[in-house]
Amino acid sequence: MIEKLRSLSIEIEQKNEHLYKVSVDFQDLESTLLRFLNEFNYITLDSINYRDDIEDEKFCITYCLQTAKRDHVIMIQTFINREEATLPTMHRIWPQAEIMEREMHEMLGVDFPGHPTLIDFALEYWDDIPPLRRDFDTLKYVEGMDPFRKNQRDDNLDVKVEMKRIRAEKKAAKLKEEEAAAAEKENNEEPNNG
Amino acid sequence: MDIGFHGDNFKWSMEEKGTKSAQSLIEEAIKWFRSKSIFVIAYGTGCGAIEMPPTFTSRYDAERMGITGVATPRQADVIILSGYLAYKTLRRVIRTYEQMQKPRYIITLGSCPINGGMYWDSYNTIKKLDDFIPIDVCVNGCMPRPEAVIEGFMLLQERIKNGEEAGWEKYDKELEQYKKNQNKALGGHIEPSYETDWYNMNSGGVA
Amino acid sequence: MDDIKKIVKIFHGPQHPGITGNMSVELDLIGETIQRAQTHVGYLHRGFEKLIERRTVVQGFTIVCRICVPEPDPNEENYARAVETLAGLEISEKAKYIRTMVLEMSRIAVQFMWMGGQAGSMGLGLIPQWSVCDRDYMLDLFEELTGGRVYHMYAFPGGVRRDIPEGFLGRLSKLLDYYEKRMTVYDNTFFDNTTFKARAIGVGIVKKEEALKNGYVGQTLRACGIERDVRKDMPYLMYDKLEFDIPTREEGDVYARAMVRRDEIFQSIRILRQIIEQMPSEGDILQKIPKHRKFTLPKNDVYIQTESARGAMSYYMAGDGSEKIRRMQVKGPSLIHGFTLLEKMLVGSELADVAMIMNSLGICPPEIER
Repeated sequence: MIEKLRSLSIEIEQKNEHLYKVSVDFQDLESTLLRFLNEFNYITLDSINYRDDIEDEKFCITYCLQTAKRDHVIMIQTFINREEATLPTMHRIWPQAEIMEREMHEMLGVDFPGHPTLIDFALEYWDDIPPLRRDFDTLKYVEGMDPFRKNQRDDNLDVKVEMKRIRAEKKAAKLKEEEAAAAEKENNEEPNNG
Repeated sequence: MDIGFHGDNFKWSMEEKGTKSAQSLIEEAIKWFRSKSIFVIAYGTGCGAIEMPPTFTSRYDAERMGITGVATPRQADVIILSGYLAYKTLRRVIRTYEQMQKPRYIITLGSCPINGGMYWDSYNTIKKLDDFIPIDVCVNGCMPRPEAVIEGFMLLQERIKNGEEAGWEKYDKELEQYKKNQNKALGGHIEPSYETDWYNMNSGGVA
Repeated sequence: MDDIKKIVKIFHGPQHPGITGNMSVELDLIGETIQRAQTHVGYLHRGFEKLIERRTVVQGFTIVCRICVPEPDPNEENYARAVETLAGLEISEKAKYIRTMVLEMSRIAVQFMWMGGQAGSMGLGLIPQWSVCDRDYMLDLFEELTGGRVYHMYAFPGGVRRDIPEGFLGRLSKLLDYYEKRMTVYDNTFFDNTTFKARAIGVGIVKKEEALKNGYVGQTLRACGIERDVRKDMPYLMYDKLEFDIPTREEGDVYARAMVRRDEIFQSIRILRQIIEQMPSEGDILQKIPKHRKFTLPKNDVYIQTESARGAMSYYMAGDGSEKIRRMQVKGPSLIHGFTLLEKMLVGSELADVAMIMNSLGICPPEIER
């Protein structure tokens, strides 16, 4: 199968002995998926994976397909914009795509026009930005909700900074003791002299 | 303290304490009976639900202490919160706890209800459970062994027999403070409310 | 108009003795027949994928085993293999044998727990008392090897954490003899039981034509007659050098899935006996990660699959050039079985069969919503 694909001059990159990758542009995404399904017999959609590349301002979406023999996995990868992200819905061809797209809509904020049930998947009454984007800071959210961790726990500290501080305090205390001992010694000697 | 096999007999423990009036004898008897038959509701809320079947079946038999499982909140005395709680589960647990009949107790397992545990920076879990509902016994471990869970039950039995102040009395006295904490964390929705229109709703995110 | 008045809505809900975990199914009933079913999850959502983004490789290893509660070992194996593929680490042969042994021991333990759940859901209360106790003997062996009964934290990227103790293989071999004798007792009381056969044959049928396209995995495929297993198709660790078969049936109902699981227990015992004979006595246990406090993952992404006791579990892991993991996405077998398959299968069946069908598909809610 892979030799047949290579002979048709499709660029395939091999990552592992069972893993291959094809990169496409966003405009060719739906036609490539249908071509892989009908012509080359990649009939199973295993999962839709996503990743937030905030430095390039893109989302990276990967569709993982398998044949009926299931002896290798091919990843079809594309990049879409972060602002107003939309993707074509695949739920008429593969029914398992319905639940995967519902989760992507909630966690990443991608829109799927024509999808029948774009409702909550795991969160209830959520009114912040979609949580799996890189600009959502989960530690700040927790400290805003619950005062318990902020005021009474001290485990958000850096170990090296704290060790330096503790050593400096011990050194200062030792210096003070030595000065006090030296001052007492002088005081004890003076009445003998004077 | 070592109770021993025979020392837990009701008649002998009464003879040690001396004579009392009839009213207090009846109350002591009721407390002793209550501690010997504890019914646990069947609700596995988190990670620790994997150590519940070994505790209640034949190897670490908890039924010899009088502890069995029942199906509904109206029949139960104790609810076991085995691990962390998400906000969505906390709404259902509050409703279940208020449906149980008094006296009612709560046992928690693990370190997540005490201070957040290993999900301390997660946006969807409760960090300190004692602000929302009153806890009676905490058993620590991740997950605690079945022998540790049984030891937690024996501690609860001692507390019931001695008549110490239990969690449900504290909940009645300080109800306003608990409700204020709950509404602040849950955003004012403690669902499902009694006004939900069940037959026409389209399950748009509720429950 | 008369029909609308007769519809009753029931939540087979989060507090119920007949569901496998903390999820709920919303049912519309007329009489006792189900017209429509909807699954609700989210009661166990911890945001694992967000937590992993803030942790390094060594810190992430300690929380990964709690993603799936009854079955933590395939998660650790996937994590270790994904990090090894990204960073280019090689593991020794003895470590491969030990990791294969741990995976097969965990498979037997999960099948015993499943037996208790399936029998308890239809009222045969004796089987859980026996099978949960028999599973405990295997957990004693796990405690001796790794230090913990349920959450092991044993398979680290580069090998395993500790060597096997003295006499361990002898104790494992004695336990396997005990299990083989014990399975005849289970055959007489559970698998040949008239009540089980009368309730389970012909219920919950999965059709063969759409099974491959819809992405079903595990015993739902094998009970329809399709022979697919990640250990044979895309072999990893030591599976291409060990001999074992893949059991299949033709009917595709609850009884066929139960018999496939029963045959898999015998195949796992066969694999374990071969490992006990072939285990090498010398070798490195753990490949040292160079500079493990500043260990960086290169900028790449990878997709790894492992066969768990209920189907194929997949991880997608990506790294950038820093110390923290960029992205890890988990997809277990229960995502498709719990939503696409369950909502279709429950239409037309009875209310009393819901618990039995959910147990036979092996739906585990913490794996759906992480």
